[in-house]
Formats: sequence, C-alpha cells, structure tokens
Amino acid sequence: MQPRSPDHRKPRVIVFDVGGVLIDWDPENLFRNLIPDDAERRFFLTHVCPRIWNNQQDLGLHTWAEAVQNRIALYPAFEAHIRAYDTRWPEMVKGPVSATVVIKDKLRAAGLPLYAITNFSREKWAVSQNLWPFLKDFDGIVVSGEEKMLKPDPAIYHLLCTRYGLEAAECLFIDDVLENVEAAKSVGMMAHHFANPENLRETLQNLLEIDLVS
Amino acid sequence: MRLLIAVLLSVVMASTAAFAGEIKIERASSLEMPEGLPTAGVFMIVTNDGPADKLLSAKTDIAETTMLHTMDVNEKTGALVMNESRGFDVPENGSLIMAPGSNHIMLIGMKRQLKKDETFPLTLTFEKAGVKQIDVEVIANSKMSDRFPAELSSEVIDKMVAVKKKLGMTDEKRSGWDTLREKIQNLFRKDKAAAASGTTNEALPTREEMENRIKMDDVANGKEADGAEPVVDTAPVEPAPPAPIATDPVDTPADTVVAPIAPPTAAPAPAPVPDAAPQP
Repeated sequence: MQPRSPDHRKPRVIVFDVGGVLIDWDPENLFRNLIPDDAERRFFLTHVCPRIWNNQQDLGLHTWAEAVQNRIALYPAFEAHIRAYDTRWPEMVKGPVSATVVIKDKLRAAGLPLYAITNFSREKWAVSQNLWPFLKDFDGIVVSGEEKMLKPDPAIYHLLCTRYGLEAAECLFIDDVLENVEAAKSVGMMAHHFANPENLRETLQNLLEIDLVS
Repeated sequence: MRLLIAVLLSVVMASTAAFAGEIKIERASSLEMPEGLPTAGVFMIVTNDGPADKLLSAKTDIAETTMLHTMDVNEKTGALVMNESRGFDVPENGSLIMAPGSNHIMLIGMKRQLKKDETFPLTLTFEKAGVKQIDVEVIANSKMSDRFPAELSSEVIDKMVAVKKKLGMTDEKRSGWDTLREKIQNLFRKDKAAAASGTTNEALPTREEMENRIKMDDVANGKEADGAEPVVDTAPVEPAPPAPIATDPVDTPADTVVAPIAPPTAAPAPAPVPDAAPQP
C-alpha cells in the first residue's frame, strides 16, 4: 500500500449497500397483496419468515430450497406463503431507487471507483443482477452469501479492502442500516447513514466537491 | 492423478538433472481493476512435492515495484497491516497459499489498468527451484471466492478479532454483528430443536393468538416490533452462550465447493460443523 497522509478525508472510493439504497426491497411489498390482514401478515413476517430467517440465506447457511423446506415443516399451515417468499421474491422489490441510481451514474462519470458490499443470498443476487443490470456495474462486489459473512461483521469490510487493494480510510460507505454504518466506521471507513437520495447527494457533493445535480 | 503427474514430472526432471521440478503454481490470479488505482494484488497457490523451498521475489513489467506482502494485525491498535517480507517459506511436501486477506504479491505503481480475461507475465524466484515464469490471469471479482474461499484468510481475521478483544475494543459495547449473529444462532437452534421434537404448528393461529404473540414480542423487545424495522430488531432475544459463527466454518452449499487443493499450511482447512444442516 502506498502511504497516505493521515488527514486524507476526501473519499477516493465509494462503497454502496444495495437493498434499501439502490433497490427498494421490502417483504411488505409482496405480502401486502398476499396477506391483506394486518395482524396475520405481521405474524407471518415476524414469526414464520422473519428477517432473521432471510439473513440465514444471506449468510449462505442454506440454499433457498432447503430453507423453504425447513420452514414448511415448522409451519405447514403457511406453506403457500412460505413458497411465495422464495418464488415470488422479485415482487418484494418495488424497483430501483432511481434517484440513487442517477447519483451512482454521476459518480461513475466523475471517474470514481465504485464498489458494493451487500447482504444477499447467492441465488437472489443472480436473479437481481439479471432484473436490474445496473447492479453489475461496479468495480468490485462482495456478496455475503458467497463469502459466508454478513454485514455488520467487520470481516466483510476487511475482505473488500484486502481483495481489491483498497485502503479503508479512502472509502466512503453508504448503507441504510445504522449497525452496518457503525461497523464500517469501526474498520476506519468514512460512512454515510442513508436516509434518502437528496441527503446522500448533498453529503457527497460536500465531501467530493463535485456537482452531482446538473 | 495429480500426485501421479507430479511424481512422473519429478522423475523426468531428476533424470535431466535440470533443477528441482517439484514446485507447481496454480490459480495465479489478479483482479480486474478500475482505472486510477495504483496497486493490485496477485494471488496463487504454490504446491511443493519436494524439499522445503522459499519464494524470494516476484517481478513484472507492468508495475514499478513488486513486493511480497504479509498480512498481519497490529497488536496495539487491532488494525490490519501489510508488511514487506523477505521471502515466503514453501514447506516440504506442502503448499504456500497467497490469497486475499493473507500473504500476497503486491504490485505497486501500476503502469496500466488490468482488464478481465487478459493475462500478464510474472517472474518468480525460488531459493532452490530457481526462476519460474508464470502467466497471471486477470479475473472478474465474482470468480474470486471460488478460487480463494474466505476460509483461506480466516487466520488473520481470527487474530484481529482476538487482538481487538484483548484490547477491550469489543467488550464495552456489543457490536451490531454480535447481536445479529446471536439472533441467527438462536433461530437456527430453535428450528433444530423443533425439528428434533417433531413440533409443528399445524393449524393456522387465530387472529387473537397472532396478536398476542406480537404483543409479547413487543414487550420482550421493549419496543415496537415492526416488519419494516432493521433486520437486527425483528427476532425475539434469548440468552445464548457466546459461540462465534464467524470463526466457525459454516456449511457450504454444493455449488460453492471448490476443487480440493493440497493441504494448506498457511491457513486452517474448513472443518465440518456439527450444527450445520445436512447437505442434499
């Protein structure tokens, strides 16, 4: 690694999270239609197929087929909805967060190297890259399901740096989950807690001193 | 088969008495890179069917400087540090692994951008085996974890976690990862216990039962449990013995299994996990 001055705080590399930042993923988007009853839907998404269950697939603990099988064995009454969680997964994504995608394209045009660290299962990541090809446009991507590591595990941030020869201090990490943002800071990255694209644009313009509007 | 070829090769080499021919280099790889990055890493696996040897240096025309780098942990800060090495040992009948997050060859001052699917020549100098010319393949990042699974660098990561713990850097405040890991383990454990006892939830719960369960969760979590909350807040918390998932090699889906390599000496091999689900 080339030495850099310690007060170097202008990011040279931008690292994106995907879900919640570049695409609008939320199981509610699908199950709002499938389970109209609020209490039943909430029970399904907190007990039958909670987020933490989805995280198991992100961590590569199971394939989706195994995970679905295990869950149906536990909750046979919800079989159809458990299967839908897997087979109709794309419908959980409302679509790209287009304003963030525009920012990403402008950063690309400005010549900044762009990377991504994402909590995603191998299988659904392949599906997503086909549906939304802009998810392929990174200089490097670390996918949790492939690495058997999950944000906010500091190891996954170190893996990005060591694999691509990046210095943590020159990276700006963007994520909508506070825990992931704090973990990025703990490994020495700059970090932005994503709330909305406008806010992100402002932060980036200040840090990078480039125009991301016109 | 590989052993047979190696044996045959070494017989041929020995009979011609040229130089020690037991060193073999596999998976020599570097990553495609964006324009403007001044450095690049080169990774490979060196297997040795002969006596102990040492990799002394590497050289290529596409970078100003080429260094052998070790990856280590600063005992005072817990940060990852790379240090220049005077040589990497290649053990007798063993292997030297150069992988992301571990020992590697660092190219500094790149003269051009590396592009996917190209190759570039690299000259390796060994103490006994002498000079070896190899071609390094530039690969897409998606291929990297198949060639060099994360387990290969787990030694350094484990050490970093241990140093940080020793420095008290993780004790004061539980990290988000600790919390998430514990919750994933709890769900895993509960699923296994339920499967073992044959417990199933045959009937659809009544609306009242569902509302009660949700209320109990809210109270247990001390806050509003909501499907749209961050992932770390959705599962009920139970006390669990600290058993780190990160350092346990988790079960590998069949499609991620890579071809077996010679027994690594630079990193621990992944071991089966008793907690893991059976593979199809």
